[in-house]
Amino acid sequence: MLSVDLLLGVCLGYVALLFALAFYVDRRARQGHAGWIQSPIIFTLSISVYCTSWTFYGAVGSAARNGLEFITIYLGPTLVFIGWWWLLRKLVRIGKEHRITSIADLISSRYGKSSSIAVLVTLMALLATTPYIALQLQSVTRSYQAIVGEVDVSLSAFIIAAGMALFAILFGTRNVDANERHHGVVAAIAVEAVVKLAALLAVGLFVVFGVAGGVGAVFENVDTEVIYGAGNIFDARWVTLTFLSATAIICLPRQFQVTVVENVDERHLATASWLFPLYLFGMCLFVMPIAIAGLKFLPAGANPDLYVLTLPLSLGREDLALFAFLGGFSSATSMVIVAAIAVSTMVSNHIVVPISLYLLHGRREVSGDVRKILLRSRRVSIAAVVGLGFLYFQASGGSDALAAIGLIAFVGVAQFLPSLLGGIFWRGATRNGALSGLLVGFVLWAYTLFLPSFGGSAILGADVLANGLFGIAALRPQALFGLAGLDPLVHAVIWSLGANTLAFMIVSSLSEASPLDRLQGALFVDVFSNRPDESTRFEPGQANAEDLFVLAQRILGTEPARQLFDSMAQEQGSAGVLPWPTDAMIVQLERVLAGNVGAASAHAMVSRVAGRGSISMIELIDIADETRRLMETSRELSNKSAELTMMTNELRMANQRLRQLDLQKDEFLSQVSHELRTPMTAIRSFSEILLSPETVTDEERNRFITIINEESQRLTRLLNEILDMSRLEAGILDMPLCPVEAGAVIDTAIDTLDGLIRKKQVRIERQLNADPVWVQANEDRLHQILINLISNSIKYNISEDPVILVRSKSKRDVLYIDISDNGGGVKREEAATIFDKFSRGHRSNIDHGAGLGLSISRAIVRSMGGNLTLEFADDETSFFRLRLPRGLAPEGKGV
Amino acid sequence: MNDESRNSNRPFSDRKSNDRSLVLLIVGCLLLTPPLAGIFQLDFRILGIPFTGFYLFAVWGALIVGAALLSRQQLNNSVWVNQEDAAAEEDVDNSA
Repeated sequence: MLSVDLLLGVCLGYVALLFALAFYVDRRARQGHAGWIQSPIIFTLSISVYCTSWTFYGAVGSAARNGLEFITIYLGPTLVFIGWWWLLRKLVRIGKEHRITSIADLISSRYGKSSSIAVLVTLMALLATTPYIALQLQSVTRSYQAIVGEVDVSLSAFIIAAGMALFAILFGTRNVDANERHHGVVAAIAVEAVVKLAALLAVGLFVVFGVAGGVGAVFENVDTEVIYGAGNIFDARWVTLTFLSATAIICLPRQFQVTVVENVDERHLATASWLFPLYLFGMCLFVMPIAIAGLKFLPAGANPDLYVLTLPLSLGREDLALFAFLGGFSSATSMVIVAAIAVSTMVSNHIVVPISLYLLHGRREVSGDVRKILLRSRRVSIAAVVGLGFLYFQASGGSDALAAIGLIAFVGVAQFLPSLLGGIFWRGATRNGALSGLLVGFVLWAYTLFLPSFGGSAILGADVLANGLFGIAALRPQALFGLAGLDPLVHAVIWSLGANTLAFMIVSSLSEASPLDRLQGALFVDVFSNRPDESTRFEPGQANAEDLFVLAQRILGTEPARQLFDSMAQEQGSAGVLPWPTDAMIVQLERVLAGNVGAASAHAMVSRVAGRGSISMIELIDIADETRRLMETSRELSNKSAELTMMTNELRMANQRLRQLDLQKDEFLSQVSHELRTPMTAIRSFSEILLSPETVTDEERNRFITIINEESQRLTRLLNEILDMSRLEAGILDMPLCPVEAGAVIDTAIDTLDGLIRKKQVRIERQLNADPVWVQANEDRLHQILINLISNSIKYNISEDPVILVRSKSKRDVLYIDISDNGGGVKREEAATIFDKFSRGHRSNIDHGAGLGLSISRAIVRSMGGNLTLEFADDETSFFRLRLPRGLAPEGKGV
Repeated sequence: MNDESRNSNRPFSDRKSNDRSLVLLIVGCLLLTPPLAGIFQLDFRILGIPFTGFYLFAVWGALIVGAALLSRQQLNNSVWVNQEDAAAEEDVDNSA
């Protein structure tokens, strides 16, 4: 019998060796001497973490119970690795390009970096892994028990769990970058892989050649049924198990960790494609002989799951038993360590970190904050995952139910398969599809397989198992909807995976993919046609390099963040300053961060900092609002511009009028100066003549003085007229109005002109109102106007027998005074301009008047409320018509 | 540049090795699962070993050998990420 001390000593020595190796390799790798640790053989050996104690001990147990069926668990992975070119290569490429940290990260990243999918996958992985870890603890304690007899099961299980957690924390979380390879862990696992294979081969060789005496001898006298199992070996269960194991080698979190995340070179897959199947081949080679030997040589009650250990023990080979124990110990510990690292990465990245970040939101100024949170959360997660396994082991009391957990976990993680394969081969797969498939599969897995595995002792009672939920027979967990007569495992796989796949495909085809979902889909499906730097995102938003730097500092730590930003700045050709936050730079940063916290969290954080989130409904509404405002503004602008055009036109017209007025003013001034010059010239020339008296006779002198006098008067008249004119135009002519008797004014005017009338021999005819008519006027001005009008008629009359007709006629409240003559009248074409200043009729060549008379007269009449117009009679003779408002007769002078 | 487009320009034998790996996979699936595998569930022994067990391990071993041969071909013929970069640099050198 092996002594407890020796066993413990060997165990501790082995563990110490593993720690030392991991430490050494880690340090070497850190110094840049990764070397042999990055070889394809080490890669292959690390994949052998697939062979847990469930394989090491359980395969023999399974072979002893069901014959060759155990081999299916290794045929599936063999087929997957032979077909590595078609699936694994793509997974590894995607994992590298998108810095995938776990299977939850891959699936959530594919479906638009959905955090709900990440959380769901993480929870499912945790649920499937926890019993599996418990199984490892159980196998180690049982093997320990088998060697040393009775031990404190709980204590030894706890010590083992604590040791593994410590190892995982020490070498699995040295670096914050979960995407970085854990060289120490990989090295230790590789050594353990060699140990477990060697141990199993040693036991097998001993059994076959040392005990049975040859290959053929092992199978002598053995029933075929023992080897083939009861009934048809190639049945539905065979197919199901092969399929499940093929799925498990892809979907188990720990397998994904070693195959995809820890992979340093795609080419290693090519070696692993045959070396890993060869390893499995070696592991399986002696399983059947050991099982048969165990059945032959060990007592009937012996546990087949421990044949590997108990067979050498009972045959007196304690050294071999010790080796076998180490092999079993190795397979258990390597599984727990890798599973703890893989699952804790998921738990930390997808559950703990988002919650911590949410709680710590607003404390951005603390640099390095998140880095600490990340490391701590990953360490706590590892302890929690292993701790959960230990608690599960304690709760299940090391029952035999645990032995079945391997396959149950396989079915659990197989639920990832539709979303995973659909995600990397089918662009049309959507987030909603994946979410529905995962949920449906998860629920059915739990209902048809996981919960019934407790045999009616947990959650689902025995009566539910027998009669269905609520007593409904159709809901019997192991014969759902009447699908009875199947192996429970096959039944569960058909329901859970079938419904999962259907839900995934149906919902995917019915739902719309979000833009990010579609983009990631294209990047994943066409990973081989995309260069890494070609992925761009067409998202709105403004990034601030400083904010991004702060974010990177918080997650990567100050120094790595600085190095990253320096290198990015150098790539952009601007060393020494912060890099310009281009799309490419942000994508790169997001990838690096994704290696630490997972794609979904990295995307969320970068989006929040850079404002690059996918467009939300609110943003869309804002954009729509902005567009509407812009449209309104442009409409207002066009209105304004129309207004402006109108105003411009008005201004132009006003300007035109002003120019006209200006022109008129210039004209007026030149006219005035001309008018003034004529008499002035006459006065000056005659006065010059008079200044030389010797040449002028008296007669001449008198004539000249007369002329000077006349011209002076004319000048005065002209100046008066101009003065009147300007006063009239300025509206400051003082002109009080009072009732005037029109007839009297006309008589006076004609009397005043008596001299001129006589001189010109003009006959004046009067046709005046019989009764006196009173008008509202200024008597003097009216007098002046009448004189002006009549004198014009006299002066410009070219008739041989000039006759002037002055006629007055009252009509209601208006009095008309018409003045016409037989002197030729005014031509129609002159009518429009006759009242203009300095305008003269065609007859004006007779006498040079200033041409202001009519203009002034009309202005005066108008200011008295009347009007002066040129009218044409039926026979085309013209006459001036003076309209005056009638006024009331003053007291005492009434009609 | 992607593997597929390169492959289409490459010698015929390159794509052949990928095709062969697919054939190997399909043959393996067929031989190791019913109904085809059922043919080999026979009640006689070879060297004392029950035939079905012998058959399964023989197929398994053959698949491993086939995969080993093919993986060597694929390793030599295919373009890999790291090699692509080197090839791209060479192209630059040549053009310069």
